[in-house]
Amino acid sequence: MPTSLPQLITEDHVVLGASPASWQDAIREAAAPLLASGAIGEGYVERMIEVVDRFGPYIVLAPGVALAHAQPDGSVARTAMSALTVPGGIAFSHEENDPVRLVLCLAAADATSHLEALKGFVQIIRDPSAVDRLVAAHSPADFRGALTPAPVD
Amino acid sequence: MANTPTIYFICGAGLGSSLACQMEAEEVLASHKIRAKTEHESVSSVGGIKTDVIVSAESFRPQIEKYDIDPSITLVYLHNIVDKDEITQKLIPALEGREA
Repeated sequence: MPTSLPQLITEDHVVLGASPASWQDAIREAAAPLLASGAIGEGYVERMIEVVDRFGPYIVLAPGVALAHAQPDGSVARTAMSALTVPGGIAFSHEENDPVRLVLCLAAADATSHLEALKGFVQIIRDPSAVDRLVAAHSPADFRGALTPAPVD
Repeated sequence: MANTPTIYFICGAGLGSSLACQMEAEEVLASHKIRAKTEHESVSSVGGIKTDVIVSAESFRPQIEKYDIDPSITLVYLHNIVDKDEITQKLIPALEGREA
């Protein structure tokens, strides 16, 4: 069962160099590979947007980084993650962490299968230079290389 | 010795940001040698939660305060839910305050 961040974000789940017109489009573009691979249904994409409409841009967890997600339900076929880089940045109306340059999309099929990947994600967003490396990636392979967790101190 | 406190981490979906916050907080608690039981849940379930402490993002304050939260529960709101410094500054005194 693949559960680490680089295992979940396969090369076909990485979209680089996007320039979405809105934060809603950024979430839709980030989710497109998950939709294409059948991991999620259309309903999940709209619910990720609803979460922000309802509760505000709290999904922007660190400077420049958003973790789009919603509650697991029937529209998630399997646990998966995808990533979108927006080198020019897109506003999510977050007071401190705008503009967002990296959108990760998390679809969890249950309450625990994404734990390890989320741990890897938290390690990365703690480190602004790691975020910079991801946003600067020129290929999906590059991007996945930059996901490998830094050595724990 | 007080009982091990329970801490609930709350976000919109109850599995992404709340869990990220929980992971950071667990490291903070470990480094302070504080034992606590940690759980995460979505804001829609916050009304029925039995816990000692609730930790959430500032953006959920209005939703959480709409519920009739048991006044014995300590509420901790964070601007940055994955900022260990802010977690340390707010959560540790909240836990120490309960012991006193």
